[in-house]
Amino acid sequence: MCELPKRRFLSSLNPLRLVLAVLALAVVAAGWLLPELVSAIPIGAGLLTLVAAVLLPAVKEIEFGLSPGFKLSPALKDREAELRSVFELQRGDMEYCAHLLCPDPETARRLLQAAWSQAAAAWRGPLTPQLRVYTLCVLIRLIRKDEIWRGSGRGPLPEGGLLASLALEERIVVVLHEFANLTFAEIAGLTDRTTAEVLSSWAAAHALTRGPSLDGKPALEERPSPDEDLK
Amino acid sequence: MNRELRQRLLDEADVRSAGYPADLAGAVGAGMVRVRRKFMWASVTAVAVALALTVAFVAWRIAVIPPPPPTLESIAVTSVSQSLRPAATIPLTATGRYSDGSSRRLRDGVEWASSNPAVATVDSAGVVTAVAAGTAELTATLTGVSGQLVLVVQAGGAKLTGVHVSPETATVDQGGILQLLAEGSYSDGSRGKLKGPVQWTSSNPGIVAVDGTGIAAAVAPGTATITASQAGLRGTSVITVPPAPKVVTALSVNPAQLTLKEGQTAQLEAVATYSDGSSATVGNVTWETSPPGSTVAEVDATGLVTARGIGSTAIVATLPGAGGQLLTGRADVAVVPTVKSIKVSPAGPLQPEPGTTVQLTAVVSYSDGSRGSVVEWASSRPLVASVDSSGLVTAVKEGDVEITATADGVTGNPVTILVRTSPD
Repeated sequence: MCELPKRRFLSSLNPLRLVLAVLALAVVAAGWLLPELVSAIPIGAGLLTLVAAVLLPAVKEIEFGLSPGFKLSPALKDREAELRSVFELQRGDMEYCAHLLCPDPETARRLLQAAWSQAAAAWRGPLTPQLRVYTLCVLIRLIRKDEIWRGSGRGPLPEGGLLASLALEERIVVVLHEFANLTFAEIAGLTDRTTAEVLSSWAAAHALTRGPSLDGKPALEERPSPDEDLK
Repeated sequence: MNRELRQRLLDEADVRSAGYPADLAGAVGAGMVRVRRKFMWASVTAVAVALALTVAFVAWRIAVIPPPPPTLESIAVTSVSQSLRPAATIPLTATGRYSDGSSRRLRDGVEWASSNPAVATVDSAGVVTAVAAGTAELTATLTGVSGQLVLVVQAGGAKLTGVHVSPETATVDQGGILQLLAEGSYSDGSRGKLKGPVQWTSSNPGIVAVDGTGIAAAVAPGTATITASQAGLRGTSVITVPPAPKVVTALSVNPAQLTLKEGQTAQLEAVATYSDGSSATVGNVTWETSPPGSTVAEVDATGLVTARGIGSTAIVATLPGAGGQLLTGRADVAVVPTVKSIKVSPAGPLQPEPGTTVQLTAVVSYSDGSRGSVVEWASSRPLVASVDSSGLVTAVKEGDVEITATADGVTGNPVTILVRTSPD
């Protein structure tokens, strides 16, 4: 469903880390040769060096996408600024999608913020264009959960939008295809459905959105009730 | 989707997003707080794992690999004196210092050498003997590590400072002899033979006698001090003569006479009499009947006798003596028949008057078919009627009484005596 970039272990291997790792292991091996409790000093120092100078920086880089270096706070600030910059560029589209998907504007705002927060926490490695798709995926997941939590998978809320008369899955397909410019295959992968199911939802939704009515009103409004759509 | 609807949707979304703007900075900040938390947790876990691995490695290493034995790093050679007179001997001491900081005296495997045997020689035990005036370096070597001591032999004679007798203590059996040796200790720290005559004396010649050459003879049990004297200096040796070990001179069996009834058992014990006149029970004797295989009685290895048939036999205990001869002790055992029944007559009831007597008779039947009359008589109420050892019952006053005859735990038929005064 929401796929994160794969961990790139090889990219974290640099000469400095390799040298430090070899040195740390050599110290551990040297400690092995020392008698009794004296051996604890080099073994402990070697293992701590391995953890602090090799393992943790690699984890920081691979898992959290933070810049290499020993200090955490500057790396976190850099990463936060980078994420904000990227999200800012995507902000307009993301807000449109959120408000089109959620009938309730307050819920749309809250879920979009949650999606940004989760994406910022989970995204590993460099910030690629895939981050937008991932954030959308998280947003879709949150909207689905919210719908389940509200006890209804479809139906307009008091302040429902124009798309509120569509079933949630149809709404998702319409918004992701028309406004997020995702292909049906991408939508299928993102929503964990088959392409045929996505196309089916698209067809059902398209019947209501394909053209204006004679009196100038969108066909969407002619739909009496979303419940009848299931019959 | 038609263009008009699309534009309406965009307009609608635009209005809503303007009315409900999302807090991007806050959202990303919250995400970074999670990242920080996750990283700190990962760091703490990694450090904890590293420390746990260290402890495990060290524990494993200590358990698996034994510490290497300490290596000898240096040898120090010492003696009581580094200046000797010719012909004097002193022992050298080699002390090794090891890599673990410990040090201990080296005894086995040390090779001793003298740089100048014309001045001093040293044997394999590290005892150096001064030969002539000069200087010699004495070296102790073990596993390639050496230590040296410079020894000076001076021509001038050293002064006698003490006399020593060896052995200092000894135990000699009565009749034995022991050669004592007197040595002198000198002002240069050496020890050696005494020059000139030595006077030997015993504190108690009745116990240990000593002659002019230092030969001590153990005469009688006790302790004596032998003294060697020269030039007013004395050395002593304490010699103990232990008492001669006592030996068993005779063996007896207790009890020596034993009468048993058929089926009865009795414990015999062997008593040894020793050369010093004492006696004690001994357990390491051999028990047997004499003649062997007697049907009258049998005895086990502990001296427990069991009567099997009527008759007489002997039980013999045997013990090897100090001189190799066998010592024996003997007990005579007689097995008598048991009482089967006792019949008292007249059977009664009898009714004598007070002051009169009645004679009762008891016939005892034994297990071998013989008969006898030896019984013990008893009255249930002697104040009414008494009975003497021959069975004569004397009526005393009115009343009822039972007279019984008993032998070996068997009681015969009771006779009822009704003492009544005649109405006349």
